[in-house]
Amino acid sequence: MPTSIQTLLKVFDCVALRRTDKYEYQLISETSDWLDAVFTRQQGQLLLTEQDACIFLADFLIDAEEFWDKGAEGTLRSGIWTEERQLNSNQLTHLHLEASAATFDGEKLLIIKNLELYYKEKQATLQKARELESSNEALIKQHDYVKERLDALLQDSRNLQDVLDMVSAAINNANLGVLITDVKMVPTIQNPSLNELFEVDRNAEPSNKSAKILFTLIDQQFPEFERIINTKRNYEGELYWLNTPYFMKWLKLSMHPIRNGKNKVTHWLFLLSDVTRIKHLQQQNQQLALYDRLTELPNRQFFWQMLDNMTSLDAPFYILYIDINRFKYINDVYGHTAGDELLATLTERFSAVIKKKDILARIGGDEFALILYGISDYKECQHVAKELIATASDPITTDTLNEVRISVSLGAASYPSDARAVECLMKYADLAAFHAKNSNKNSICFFSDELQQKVYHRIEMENALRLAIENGEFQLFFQPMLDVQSGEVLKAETLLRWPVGNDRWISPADFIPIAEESGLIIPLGRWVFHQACIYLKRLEDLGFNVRISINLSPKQFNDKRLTEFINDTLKLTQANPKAIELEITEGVLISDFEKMQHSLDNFKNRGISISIDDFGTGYSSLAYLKKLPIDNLKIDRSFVKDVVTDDNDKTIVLAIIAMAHQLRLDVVAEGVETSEQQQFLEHNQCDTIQGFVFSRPSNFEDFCQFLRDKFN
Amino acid sequence: MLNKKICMLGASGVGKTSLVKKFVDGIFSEKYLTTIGVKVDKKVVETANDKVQFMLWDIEGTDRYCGFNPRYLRGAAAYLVVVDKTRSQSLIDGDEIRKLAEEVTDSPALLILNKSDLEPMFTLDDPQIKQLEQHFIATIETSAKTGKNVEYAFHCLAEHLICSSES
Repeated sequence: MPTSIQTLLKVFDCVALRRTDKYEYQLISETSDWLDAVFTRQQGQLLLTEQDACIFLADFLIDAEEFWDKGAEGTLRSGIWTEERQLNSNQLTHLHLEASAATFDGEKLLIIKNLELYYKEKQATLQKARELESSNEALIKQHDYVKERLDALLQDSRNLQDVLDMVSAAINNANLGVLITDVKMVPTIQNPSLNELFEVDRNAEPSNKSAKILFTLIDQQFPEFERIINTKRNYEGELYWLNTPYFMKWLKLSMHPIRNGKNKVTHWLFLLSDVTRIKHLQQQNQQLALYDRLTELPNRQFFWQMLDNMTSLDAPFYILYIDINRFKYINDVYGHTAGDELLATLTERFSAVIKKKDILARIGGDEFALILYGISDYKECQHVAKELIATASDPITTDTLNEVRISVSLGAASYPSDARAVECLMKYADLAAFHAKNSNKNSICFFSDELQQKVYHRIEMENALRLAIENGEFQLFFQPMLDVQSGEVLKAETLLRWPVGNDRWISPADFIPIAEESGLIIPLGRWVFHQACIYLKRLEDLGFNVRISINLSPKQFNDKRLTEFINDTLKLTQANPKAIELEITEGVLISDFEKMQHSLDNFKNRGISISIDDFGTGYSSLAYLKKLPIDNLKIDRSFVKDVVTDDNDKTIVLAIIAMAHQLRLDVVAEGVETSEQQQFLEHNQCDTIQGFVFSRPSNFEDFCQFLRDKFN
Repeated sequence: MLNKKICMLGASGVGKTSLVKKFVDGIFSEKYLTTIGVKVDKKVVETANDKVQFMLWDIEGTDRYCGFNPRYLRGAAAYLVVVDKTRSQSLIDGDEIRKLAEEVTDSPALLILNKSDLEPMFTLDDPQIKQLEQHFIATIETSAKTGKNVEYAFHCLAEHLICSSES
């Protein structure tokens, strides 16, 4: 081997070996002092069997043999491993090694590197990063625990004062700052840790000094605050408190609305932790201070600084807020690793779309922000936005995600035409994104006064919905489902209606998406289930043998207390579970399979039957059909609509019926409006039919009359 | 004597290295020192009927900085999924690791709930554990600090492997 290469290998503390036979290697470089401590030599040959050498290397050589046999190019690396050996002294030493297999001039080469320095550096970096990770995890857990505990107690006792009495000792002893305010942000409870956090003496006047500091920081640093309060959302973020000239602190803040038993927000819970140490660790770790660890993009604080810098240049630009729709759902269904992979993929895709001078940042769990440098024309901004939307909509496939599609909502505000202040720009872009999210998937909205009005209208609508749930202003309607052959009424689907006086109704199409998006679907769904059980019992008392079918949204299905609620309601109303059918969409079924099976088995064991709603429009994995305890498939109305005239729809409907029957499932066709559709379904062995052709949805009294007429 | 490769799997910081250290050398250190790569230790376990030599592959914790490497499981007679009883996230991670491991090996696995000397975030009765433990030959609560059940866990595994090889 040339001397220069020998020197090079020595500099990098490597040794080079040539494979002479299986497990036999000849040293072709100079030796190193660690080599003989690790490996056995016999007549000049190094023996690398599991018995003679180290176990890890012997295992790697299996791959190396394959690599050499293939004659593959490049190198194959083993990854780092550690050997514990005695070197010159009698003391135990840890050697950190890595092996690489390579082929050169037909020779099979094995290079072994001593990575002592690299190992130490890597360990120091990862040590901090992992400590950081675990501190963060512990903090989040602490916040979640207090919040969940309060929620659970409120669910049970339904009286806030009782709950506060119950948890006051725990709150007082908690080592995180806790502040509970009423809806007008007047503090009602705060714990000693909050004062300690803000360095306020417990006897200081006024007694709400800590809360005042907190709200000042929020005013200065969270332009989204007003919108969050109005829409009663949870929020998590960080605050920076610079108490010059004494000290600075980083605070982790989480805010949660506290609802009473009627789902009315009566208080707000603020949880605060001092994360200065974590920030300090981050700063030691260079990249982590101003950058998001996962995406390696600038973080919120850095983005804010850059936005500040941009406004000081006084040149026009656009700011875009990018909100990933249903990101929490992806996290819940596929797990956090999948969520992380999705964010990393989006970062890559967005970065490929923007210009070098543009600034992309991750400013929240599922939010990105973008400064479009030098853009003053909204059309240009729209052009970029469309590209971002398009790239985000492409199916995402990662290690844990298979062709998952997501959508994004974008909000834009321009400097200086919409606002000059950083806070206003952020707030306006946030409002615009909020509006986009509630309008269409994959859309962009530009901030305007009109948009601001629309957002406020949407917030009013949400508040009205909340009030309507609180006051039980809804009505349940019933639409019968008939046996195709006998014409007998087998069951009825419950449908929700919201009357607003003078025979006016708010369409479910208008309020259900708001309920879904705001989380109000949980109390609303519970109301529906409870009412449906009451009506079911009345039907039974009236002598009607009819089952009731109730819709469950994916969000309801993910409610941890769903099973408990259903059991309690059945007990309370004495409704017969065998006369209840739950309608779930295919979307529910892509969740964690074991969890899903467990929940469905629970329902089945109670006698409740399960129907898949809107079948054919959702996810195409059919494996669940044979594995889960499903009773019926409901063919989506979109296929039924043109089943008589459209050959494609006809084929799909026939295929669904055939497949369902093979799997011994009953088939329901919904949206049947004409006698031609009815005849087609009759001739093709559809089991049950629902639609205007028999009956529109009607209130309970009219439904009973329909049943009487049918039975007579 | 039987030689068996055993892999220690789990999220980072759950105590895999501490368990091995306690089992092999009888030592516990309070200081957390993150593992990089792999370290293999050997220890002979004696059961009533036989002896087995464990080659314990202590593998760097799986997290955002280090992915799961299925290659390390090749030839493993068994693996331990270690979770930290004070961190419920480690249980979720442990389940994901278990699923990944099951894709490449049919070897038996032990679920180890470590750090049982500390205030737990979950207990053996939790539904999450109940759901998870069906995938393991046993679920054992351990503490590398106090030594609770550390010997016992490896002993159970040895018994199981000896029984399996006899049958």
